[in-house]
Amino acid sequence: MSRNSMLGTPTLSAERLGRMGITAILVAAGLVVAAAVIQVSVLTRLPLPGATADLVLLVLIGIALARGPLTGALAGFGAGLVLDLMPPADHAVGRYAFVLCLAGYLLGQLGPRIFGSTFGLMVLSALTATGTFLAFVVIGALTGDPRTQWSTVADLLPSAVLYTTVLAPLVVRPVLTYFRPAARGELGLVIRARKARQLNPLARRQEL
Amino acid sequence: MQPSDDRRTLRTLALLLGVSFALITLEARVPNSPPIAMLKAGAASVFGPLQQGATALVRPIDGLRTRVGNSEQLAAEVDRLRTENSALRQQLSATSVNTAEVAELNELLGVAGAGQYRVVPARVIGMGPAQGLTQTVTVDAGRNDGLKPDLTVINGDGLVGRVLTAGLHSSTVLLTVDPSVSIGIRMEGSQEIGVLSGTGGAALTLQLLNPQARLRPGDRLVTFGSRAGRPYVPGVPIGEVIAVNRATDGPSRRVQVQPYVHFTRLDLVGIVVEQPRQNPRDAVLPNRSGEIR
Repeated sequence: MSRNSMLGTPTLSAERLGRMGITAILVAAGLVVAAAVIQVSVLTRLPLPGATADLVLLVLIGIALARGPLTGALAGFGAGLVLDLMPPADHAVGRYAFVLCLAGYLLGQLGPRIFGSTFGLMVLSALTATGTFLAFVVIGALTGDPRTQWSTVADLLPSAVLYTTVLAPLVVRPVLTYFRPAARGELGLVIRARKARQLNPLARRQEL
Repeated sequence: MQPSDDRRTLRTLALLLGVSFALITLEARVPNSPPIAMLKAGAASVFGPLQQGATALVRPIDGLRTRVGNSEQLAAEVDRLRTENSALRQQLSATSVNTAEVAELNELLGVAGAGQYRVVPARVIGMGPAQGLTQTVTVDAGRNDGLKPDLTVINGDGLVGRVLTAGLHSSTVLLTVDPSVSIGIRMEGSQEIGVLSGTGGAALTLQLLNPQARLRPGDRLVTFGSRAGRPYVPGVPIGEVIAVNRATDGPSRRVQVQPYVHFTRLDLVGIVVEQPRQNPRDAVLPNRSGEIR
């Protein structure tokens, strides 16, 4: 049962919510690639202890929240494949594709509920970073990856989540604003605004 | 969302997850199968130049930190420290990035020269994030420079790792500290042989074939060498023993080895494309005062 029909909102086609123009697709792909390259060539060079901020995940959070579950799943799958194939990756191809595809879908289901709150975005980013990291490790453990060591995972989890959460407002917010169909003057404007307000009465008007 | 749209989304999700699952299963059964290897090689040619560009952009900022030491207001303090501490003086002499690079290259050539290796120099242009649980880096040399999988990678301090996959202009290097790595080793002096394994952490664990062999912290080890020098050429310094713990159960001991290479600060590395005709044994280890013999 879909949420909107329960709430009695005007139906909003998933195609309109999810459909991306060719420009939006190119921008999304460019952002994912840039985030992946910055992650391995710039962020890992920083003299910070522990893990590295998950920039690609933050871009995905922005896209999925703005465009819904269908685009979220597609973008997550693509972003995951980039992380699986880009050197110096050496894990089973498909691991990040699986994890981020699922993450993109679930984030898309949340929809515009937390458009308004930066704190909400940070909490969501922290939860997503924890979930994707653990899911990635669990898939490795299930497929018998000899690198799966839970002590290492426990060491890395706090710093991975911390760095990702700190960067969340800087990355998720602009991506969200760019990809939100309403902000780009498409037909989805009125419907999305009304839907968002019904889902979250606390959402500020100007955010819509 | 209409129910039909919901169904369409779920169908797409199921399809994508199915494809991912199929890929993971394929990789678990046949690691690095030809189609996957082709995809990865393609990705390497696309992402190699991008990583090289990004690294070139941030390298001057890296250097800036070192150059600050050259400024006039610090000069007096540098002088004072120079007279105080000879070890510190050595570090401070490398104030400019360029001299530091020259020193690094010299050191690399020194190790290579002492062992009669022929090396191709390369720079690290990407490191895998730690949460990938994989200790790998990208370097900016590839098949065009004569690289191929399973070549030994060294730097001025010792063994870095081995080439995992070689793209056209960039390659992936598996570092010695990766938890999937095991290396045959030989102890300096006693010539005892053993197996060194990565742990994912900073230290490595050593298992000697002769459980009675005498081992003390400070004992140094070099690569034993693989057949035809792939993946490891013989005689490359790896590190030294820092702790020997008797296991509570059984006769085995847990021996921890500190590698000479600082894996978090890798920059210039050399890939051994030609190995020495004679096994240099431990001749490449620096003598205790720090110079290469």
